[in-house]
Amino acid sequence: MIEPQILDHPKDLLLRKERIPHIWCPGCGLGSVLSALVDALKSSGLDFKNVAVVSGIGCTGRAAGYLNLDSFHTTHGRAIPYATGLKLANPDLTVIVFSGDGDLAAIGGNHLIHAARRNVDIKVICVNNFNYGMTGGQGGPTTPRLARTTTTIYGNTEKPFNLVHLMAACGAPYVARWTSAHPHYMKIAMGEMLKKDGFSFLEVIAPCPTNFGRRNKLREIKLLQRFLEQAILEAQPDIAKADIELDSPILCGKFVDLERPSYLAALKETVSAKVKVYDFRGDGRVPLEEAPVKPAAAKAPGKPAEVPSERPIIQRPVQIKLAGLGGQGIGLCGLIIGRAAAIFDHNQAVYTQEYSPEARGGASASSIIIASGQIHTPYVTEPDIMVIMAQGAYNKYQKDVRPGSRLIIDKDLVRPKDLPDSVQIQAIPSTRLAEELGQKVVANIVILGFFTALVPHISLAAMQKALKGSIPKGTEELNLRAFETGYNYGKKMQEEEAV
Amino acid sequence: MGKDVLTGTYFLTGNEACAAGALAAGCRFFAGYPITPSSEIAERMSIRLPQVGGVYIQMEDEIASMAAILGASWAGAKSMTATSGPGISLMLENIGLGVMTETPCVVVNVMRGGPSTGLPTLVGQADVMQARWGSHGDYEIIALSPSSPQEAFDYTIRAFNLAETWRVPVILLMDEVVGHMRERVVIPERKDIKVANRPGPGEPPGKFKAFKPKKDLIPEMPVAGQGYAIHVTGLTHDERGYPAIEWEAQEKLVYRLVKKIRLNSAKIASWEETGVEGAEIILISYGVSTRICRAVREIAREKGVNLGLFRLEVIWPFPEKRVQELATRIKAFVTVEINYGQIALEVERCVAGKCITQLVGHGGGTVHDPQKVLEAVEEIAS
Ligand code: SF4
Repeated sequence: MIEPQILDHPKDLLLRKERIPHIWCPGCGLGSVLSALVDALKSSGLDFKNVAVVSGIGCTGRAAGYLNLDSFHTTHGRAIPYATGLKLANPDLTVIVFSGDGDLAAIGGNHLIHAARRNVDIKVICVNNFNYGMTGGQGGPTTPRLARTTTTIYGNTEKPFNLVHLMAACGAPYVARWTSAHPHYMKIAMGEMLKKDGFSFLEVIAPCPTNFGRRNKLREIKLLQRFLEQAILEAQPDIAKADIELDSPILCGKFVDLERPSYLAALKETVSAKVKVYDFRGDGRVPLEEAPVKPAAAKAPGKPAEVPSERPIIQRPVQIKLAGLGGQGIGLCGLIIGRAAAIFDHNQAVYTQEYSPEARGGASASSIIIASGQIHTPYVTEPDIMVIMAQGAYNKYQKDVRPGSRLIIDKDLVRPKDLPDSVQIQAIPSTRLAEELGQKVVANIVILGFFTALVPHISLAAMQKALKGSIPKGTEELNLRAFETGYNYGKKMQEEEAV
Repeated sequence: MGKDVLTGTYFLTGNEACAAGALAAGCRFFAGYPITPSSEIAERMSIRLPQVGGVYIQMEDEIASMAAILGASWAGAKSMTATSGPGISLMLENIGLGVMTETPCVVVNVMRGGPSTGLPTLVGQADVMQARWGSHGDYEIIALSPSSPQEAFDYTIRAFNLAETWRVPVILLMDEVVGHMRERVVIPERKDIKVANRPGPGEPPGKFKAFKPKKDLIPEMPVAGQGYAIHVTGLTHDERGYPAIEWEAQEKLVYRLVKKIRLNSAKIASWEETGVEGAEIILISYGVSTRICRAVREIAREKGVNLGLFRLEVIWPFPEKRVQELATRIKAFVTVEINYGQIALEVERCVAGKCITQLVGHGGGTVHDPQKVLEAVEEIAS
């Protein structure tokens, strides 16, 4: 007797044999869609090692699990962003999203429209079965008007999505629609999608016979018949006429096929020259050149020099608060003081900024605490020194001025009032001096120089280094002059006071 | 081409330091959605990642961001997202997928005041239990909490290493104060930064089972494109990764996911003890609140009260054994956190009546007044 020989089915290579039989109902169109994809993949010439399939949840969502490829069965609606991550981490992959209409267009609708807009190179096969099949046939965003489902038993009242129209409007460079009764055309469309560099979308109409068909008098054979008889196949179908009604013909064909740079192509086009990097991928396989190690530069940020000899020792934390109006650059002053103390004086410094709606234009403040030992509480509660550059800021923060503290102000812009006698007020016409230097905007640096001359907690050298590292290139000279002006003003004032 | 580790001494916010830490750990993929007070992390990543050939992508929402970093991880990326408040709530669904599919990735939550929109610009520490069990189903997770910008840098690297080692999404529970405050941050040289990578498949495709536990209950992880034809599903699955909708498979899988963290908690849990030996009362805290506790210790010392500090570096898994041990020798544990009792309940559970447990809670919006904490301590001490 001759032993019967079991041959592999030609599609077996791409299917997980051990997982067949599948869970789909007899007469369901999903099998034909999967089969068309297998055929398209086989004639694509792609290395299957580099093909990944991502599904969401639902009947269609099970497709990933039957394909013998790297396959991902994700959460409901999230196949597209998951696929986006896969593709951008390893652009060598061909990433296919195979999922249903409820998954992609309802719960995942936001992802769908943004992926089309963004044009990430993923191939989306959306099987539209007109309802939620796996959960028993509830209505959804693609259910035709008047159709009966378990949740639209009186007839669906909502207008369904015209998915191909939606995708075209979002900028998808490839959009097609076929039905499960058109395996040949499906395969052609899938083949084209596999070649396309960009977001491509294929809608396959495959109503669910088990749920949708039964309730709408369209059993298996009738469904197929309707598709074959009522599908309108056009070379250049008009997308505006692609709405689907319960009894209307179904317009099929390729609606969009155009060239538009994919997400990664656009990234390279726009960013590469600016960063001098010509490949982008998340998996870290863009080789990093070992940049030559430069000797420690004396600028911030960078490596600080040795502990300076003039490092001020601060036993008890000193609390400093700086306030001004938006645009006066008071935040930058705080930053420079913090950098000087923390990086160049080798002390500790904590800098915080008020994050409130007032920060945009109104009065705002930043705070620094400096100490030689550890600083625990991050917030300034009892300022030892306050620097105020505008009356609006004074009015807002006057409440924080403590007896015995030091108050540094712009002489022309702040009129202090109602203060305890013990407050030591030190004033400088910083804005006027800045104007004399030619640029009002450096008033903050003038007052910073003044501050440095008067306050013993930060060394001059540290302040100068921090300043250099904190200002835009090309403005160094102006800023240094502004700093010097303020510093000299302060020193002179001290000498006069001493006399 | 830029450098991934910018060695030097800086004056950085916690958010900036976190981004620097991610790059140093090997992160090359970031997907996110802007939200206060975490946006600076995304901003920094959007500048830095292209410089090192990585990918920054702004997604349409936090759900998509979380999904994208899972996908990227399965393509071999070290991936991260950062969010806060309502954003972390939206991410929970896919954090669950990450747990179920054992996907290494890092999720930064810069905690702000809640519930709901709450205090977008101000501090909170109330997402601690959410970090542990926010997604549906039973699982164990890893969460760390930095208390300074330097720790934001260091712990982000730790978070990646833990995620890669234990194959679980790791949550960096930062808070708004640490995220926004600036302090000195020292970024070491690349060679001095320890980086862990996920265990790759030890066998060729064919025999290999992608979810078969190996050393320490951790399966070896192939990624897409390596020829393993892996199947990754959020359904309960067997060792091949195939759906197995039955209670036996559920027990085998979910119990392992829980055990891989619980049984290895001695290797994961991490804390810092200050002045605990001989202390009568120990403050237990994490994140920015530990800074307040340090200030309280200083005042207490001046007043002659012997106060210890137990700072959680890793919050989950919780250092159960050590807390139990200490409970037998002290008078009280005082939990200081910016919520109305989350870690405090965990402490109470571990202590099981062996010493006094007390919470000094706070609704958020600012940090504790050290005086309030001190009062609670003094009341117990007297
Ligand atoms: S329920 Fe409907 S969509 Fe799902 S497998 Fe059955 S026929 Fe197909």
